[in-house]
Amino acid sequence: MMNNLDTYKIWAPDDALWTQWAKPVLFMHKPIMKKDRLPVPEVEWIENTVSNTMIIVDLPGQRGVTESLALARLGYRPVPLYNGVNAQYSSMVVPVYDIVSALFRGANELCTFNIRPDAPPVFMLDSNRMNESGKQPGKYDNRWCVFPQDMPSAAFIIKEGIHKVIVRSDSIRNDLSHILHRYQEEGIPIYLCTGEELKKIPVVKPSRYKSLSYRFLATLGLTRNATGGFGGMIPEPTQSNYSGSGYYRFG
Amino acid sequence: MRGNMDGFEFLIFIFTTFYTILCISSWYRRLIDSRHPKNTTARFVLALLPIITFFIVLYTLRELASFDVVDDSIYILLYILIGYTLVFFGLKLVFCFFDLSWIDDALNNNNKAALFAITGAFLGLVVIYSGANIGDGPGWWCVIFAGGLGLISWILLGVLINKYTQVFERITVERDMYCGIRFGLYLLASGIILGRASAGDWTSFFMTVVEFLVGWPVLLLALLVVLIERAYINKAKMRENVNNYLYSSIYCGIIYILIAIVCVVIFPLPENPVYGSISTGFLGVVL
Repeated sequence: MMNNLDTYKIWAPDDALWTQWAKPVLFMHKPIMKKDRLPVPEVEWIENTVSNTMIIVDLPGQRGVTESLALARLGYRPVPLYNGVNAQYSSMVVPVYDIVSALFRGANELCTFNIRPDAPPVFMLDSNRMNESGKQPGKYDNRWCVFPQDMPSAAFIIKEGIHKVIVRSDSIRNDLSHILHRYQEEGIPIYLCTGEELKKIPVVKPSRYKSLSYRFLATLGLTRNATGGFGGMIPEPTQSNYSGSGYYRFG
Repeated sequence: MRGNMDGFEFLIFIFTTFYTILCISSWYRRLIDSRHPKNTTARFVLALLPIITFFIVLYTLRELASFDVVDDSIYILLYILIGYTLVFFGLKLVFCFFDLSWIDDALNNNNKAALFAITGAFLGLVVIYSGANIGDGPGWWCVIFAGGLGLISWILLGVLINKYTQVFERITVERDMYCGIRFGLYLLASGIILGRASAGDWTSFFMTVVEFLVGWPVLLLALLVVLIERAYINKAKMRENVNNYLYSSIYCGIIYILIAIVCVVIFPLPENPVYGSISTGFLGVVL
């Protein structure tokens, strides 16, 4: 029976090159495990591991985990970047319980795959991360963004022999475009895969690109959690004495 | 409890007590609650910073502050609380203007480069505030004004250096530890020079600004940092062996600190009686 840290270590082993970017946020609370195996689909848009290709899986909920596992079966190293806390409240803005469950169930599958320490990475994101706008009273706000600081720099991936980036998603989200545009500026082509075929795309320069205050302003609209990542209960206007656990404004 | 405090000072005391307790409790609670399995070093270093702050500010207040503060424990407490308030507020400015976050970069991302830079920034802020406490003055607002000049200059210079060297992107995104070491030590060194510039006996707002110009060597230091960082950028472009950068980065940082110490030594604080004439003030600046 694996505990939280054991499970995290399977997804982020010490000897893997890309582990330094893995986020432990969704591994903090072990879910009630289902007995059945996690179904891992076949990926049809890529046939085998290409050492010079980095993949970003930006799909909703559990699909992101299962598709990343499918790529891991081909030899890619999945790196969980999920940064929204699973507080087990029904009022969570971004439902993450199925992702947590898939990560813990998928760890058993991942153990069986033979992945090299220097295998090319698959960065895992939840496309629902900015589901709703604004802080809503009475809800657990676990919306989050991915920032350029959360993923390797263009110089680093080029040094590691990566010369192509594939985004597996239905579209490029604004926060991700801040990262992809940096890659594009350094001459790395960006491909979008909606499920069937790859299409090379130009990534439009986002607003506040490389602005020093971009991250500061973005995090002002989110709710930090004390243990790391984002998540906190937004008090109702009538709850004058509310003291939500792990909800800090200072940052 | 109020001692010789007037009503407004008492309000400042209440506000800074509340803000300091809020910030320090958040700081340590976050360090304790952090679940990142590998950030032990970051947590240890960050845990030490508020303690070091206390001793630096306490020493300054007991030995170098205004004559009516050095022996008054209530005022010493007030100025320590103001110090914590300014330093934690300064950290927010560091995040806003430098894009350096102790939570996101040092703690959650376990970015060692950012840890060096944030440590330098924290200590730099403490030294600026400590410098502003040196000398006689009629009230807390003298310290805020003089320290504010130092803080604004320190931030403007950081932003200016970044414009030509992209230093913050290299620290937070590229996680260039050597750049973090160099820039962290620069932030401390510039803090020392600007702390010296903020020091001195109070005469007027105008004279405080005039006397602040004694910190002009910080411009040369900033220029030196730009030249050195540009040289490192060019080396990186040529893909030279990066393993050689550790010692050279430490040497660069030590040079920055030595320059700062020399600046403090060669511009000693003028004595109070000569403050009467502006020309003498200017002389002090030119010297």
